[in-house]
Amino acid sequence: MIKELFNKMFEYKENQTYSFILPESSNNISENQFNKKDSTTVFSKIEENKKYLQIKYNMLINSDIKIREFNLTFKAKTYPAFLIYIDGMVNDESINNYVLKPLFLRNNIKMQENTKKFQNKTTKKIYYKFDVENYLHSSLIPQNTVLKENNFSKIVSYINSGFCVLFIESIKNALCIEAKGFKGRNVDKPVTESVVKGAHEGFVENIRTNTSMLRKIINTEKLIIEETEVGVLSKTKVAICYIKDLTNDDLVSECKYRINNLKLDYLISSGQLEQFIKDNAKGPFPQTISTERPDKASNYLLLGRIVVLINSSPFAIILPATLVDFLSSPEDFNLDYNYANFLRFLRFIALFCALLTPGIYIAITTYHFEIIPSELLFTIIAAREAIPFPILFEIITMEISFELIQEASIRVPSSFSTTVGIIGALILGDAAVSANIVSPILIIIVAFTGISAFAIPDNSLRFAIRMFRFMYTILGYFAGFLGIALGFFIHLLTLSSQYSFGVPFFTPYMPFDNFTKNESLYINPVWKREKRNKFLNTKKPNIEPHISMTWRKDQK
Amino acid sequence: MENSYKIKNGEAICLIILLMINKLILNVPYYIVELVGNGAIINILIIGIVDFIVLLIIVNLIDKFESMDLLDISGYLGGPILKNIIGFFNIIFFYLVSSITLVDFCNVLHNIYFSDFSIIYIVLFFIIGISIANFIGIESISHHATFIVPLIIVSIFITFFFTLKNLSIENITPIFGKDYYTTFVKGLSNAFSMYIIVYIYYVKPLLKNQEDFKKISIISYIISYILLASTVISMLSLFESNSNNIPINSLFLLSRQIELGDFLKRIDSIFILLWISASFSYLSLIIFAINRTIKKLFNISNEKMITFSSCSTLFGLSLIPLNVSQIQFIENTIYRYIVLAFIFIIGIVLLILANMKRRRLLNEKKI
Repeated sequence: MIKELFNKMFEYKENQTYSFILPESSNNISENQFNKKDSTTVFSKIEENKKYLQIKYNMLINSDIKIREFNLTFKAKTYPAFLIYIDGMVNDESINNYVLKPLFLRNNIKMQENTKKFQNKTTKKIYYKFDVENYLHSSLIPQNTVLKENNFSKIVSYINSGFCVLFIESIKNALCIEAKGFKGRNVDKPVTESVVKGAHEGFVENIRTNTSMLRKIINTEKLIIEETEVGVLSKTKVAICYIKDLTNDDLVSECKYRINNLKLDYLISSGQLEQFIKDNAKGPFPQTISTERPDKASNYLLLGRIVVLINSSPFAIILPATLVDFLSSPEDFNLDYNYANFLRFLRFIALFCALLTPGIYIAITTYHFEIIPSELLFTIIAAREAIPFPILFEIITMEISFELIQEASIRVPSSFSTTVGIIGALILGDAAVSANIVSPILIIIVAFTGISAFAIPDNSLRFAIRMFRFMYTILGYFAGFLGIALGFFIHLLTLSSQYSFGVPFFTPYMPFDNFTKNESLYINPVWKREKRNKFLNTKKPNIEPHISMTWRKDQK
Repeated sequence: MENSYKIKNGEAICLIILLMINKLILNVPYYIVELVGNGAIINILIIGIVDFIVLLIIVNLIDKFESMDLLDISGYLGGPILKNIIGFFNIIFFYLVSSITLVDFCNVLHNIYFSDFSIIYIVLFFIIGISIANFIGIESISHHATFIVPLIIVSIFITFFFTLKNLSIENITPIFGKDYYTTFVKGLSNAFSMYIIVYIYYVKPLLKNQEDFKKISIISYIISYILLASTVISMLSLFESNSNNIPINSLFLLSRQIELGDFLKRIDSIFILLWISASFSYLSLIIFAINRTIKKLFNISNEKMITFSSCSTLFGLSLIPLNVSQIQFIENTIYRYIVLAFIFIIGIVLLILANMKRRRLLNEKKI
């Protein structure tokens, strides 16, 4: 038995942690290859057109591109045809009533014939050549915008912007018919990520509406939206969105691998999926970005990340994510880089203040009082003189009360939230000080900590910070700066070993690497953001050429 | 993943500097000034040159062995017996260094901030930290070093610039110190202060880009030397040649001399946060080195398994009751000569012999 115990204690246990690291080199594609203009024109054979578009749109994996095939009969001749459109971007009613219905039901053209009497009084029947294309364009399809187009690059652009396109056998032009329309509940303002300067559209619960919102911003056929189902019972639709020829293939494969290998009964929200696919399953810090803003999701897609949409959830998951992403606001990219950097710096300071202020206060007042001026020290001592509780109890009580107010104001109906605020301010603030339960300086500390936490843009990061604040408070009480340093040391170590889809959490600071400036906390002016994030190893590293404002160059 | 992690260039430089920083925070600059007095400036110039030459020799000798550290090289030279001897010597050396550093640092903390606490309580904090760090692994320790080292370098320079105003001509003259013999001959033993060379022997197999080993060693040596020179100069600012008395024995206490107006009375209280973090990293790194040596000697598959026993041993060694003068004796005399013997005799002799053996084998192959 003792032998067994020893064997168990010292036996070799294989490290079973799952690890995925993004490979450092990706199959880069050249700038020319990426931006290559498609000069192909419509083929006369319809099958060729169909195959061309199927390849162009990666229809084997792209889920929202639809092709409706049918036959049209004009003057006893049958013409195979098809209609192509992006589901979610077109109005079904428009297509049914004003495109398909006329084509099928109003197509009763007869042989156009004219009788002409000649001078010798003979009469002859003259048959005019029938032009299908003109007939459809001018007589059959009643839509306000019907454009003839034979260049595929323009056709694809029309499809991407919500047109449906009709191809007919032996006709060298395609008819681009406007049928834009978005379904689902009205797109509303994002609730959790409001900005002053920026778009005011948020994702909704319908996955198709959400994919169409992405397509509306990113007008390229390279945007791939792969759909899969998760959950044996719920069969929840999950869309994996990325840009082909840009996003790292290994990253896409890893994301698909994780999502396709979930054995669950049901999945009802993006929050659930986030927890299922994150690298460090037990880590309290967020490892993917959650957003309800299509502009933010599109921006990240164009930078080479992956966006995952879930049906019935208005939140998209962006991956991979680093600490800098959690301290960024979508507004940063709309503001002048000076303001944006100032705000980012403030948020960075706020992160530390929200995490450490109570701990440092307790450490200074208990062990390191020589750090502060004597006058301030006397004020603190005088304020605490009448308080019967130890400082740890005082601060923990206030922090818990603050958390309770926050939680209550979220849970109660909005009409009560003002009342909750007043109760909190009066009872937990003024009355507690008057009753000598807490010192006035502590109210300042707790309020400052709370406001600092609100300045952190990401909700999940805020939760983690709020939670760890208690740990630092306790460590500060028991061992002053030694305790805080211990906590910080372990915290940094655990976070620096945390990965998000192969990308270290503290990228680009830990591990320190040659980072391009637009992935650090400091952001460059918009005309200098030339590179995509290096850690993503995208296939197209450059966002813009060295000189993007060519108008300046031209002037010179 | 953890076992195969290779340290990048920047991380390696930071880790080597980190090893230096801890001794700077504690007593090394004090021992230099104590021995040679005003001649410290000349002395550090000399030892800088001597150590640099030794470093170049060592780096060139190690560079010929691909992905091998001193332990592997001793195995190559003398088989398992020599490897075991060097390995055990290493373990004893690392335990001596870490336990003395730990006790010394805890004593400083105990005397200044936590006089009510038992020293065991302070030591225990460090032991918890380094145990967890070693469980997480070298990858995180090196990441942490890249974060903390630049901040500590800034703190050392702040201390240097703020104490520079106290530096007067009396502090540095006579420039040749007490006498020529002390400055130029006896003072050569101060070469131990660049003790990071000991760790250069072991860093190569851990590197991701082993071809940059030379570059990494030289850069980290130069930065460490600049830090040493600035702390020695800071220390000299308080040195009175008449009394031959240095009132302050560490950079940590030296930083307490800095005054930054009325609001921040003591900037050292902020520095202490950084320096404690540096000590955590330093000790974690030494425990990693011990674990790695044990792993190599006993062919253990996963060195993390012995983390608790290594840390417990360190804890036990740190509890051996020593007073300040005993600690200073160990650091200033025993440690000084062990380092010198290791750098100048054992290491170089082993490397030269191994190179000779390598050359002989190559020649035999050619024939």
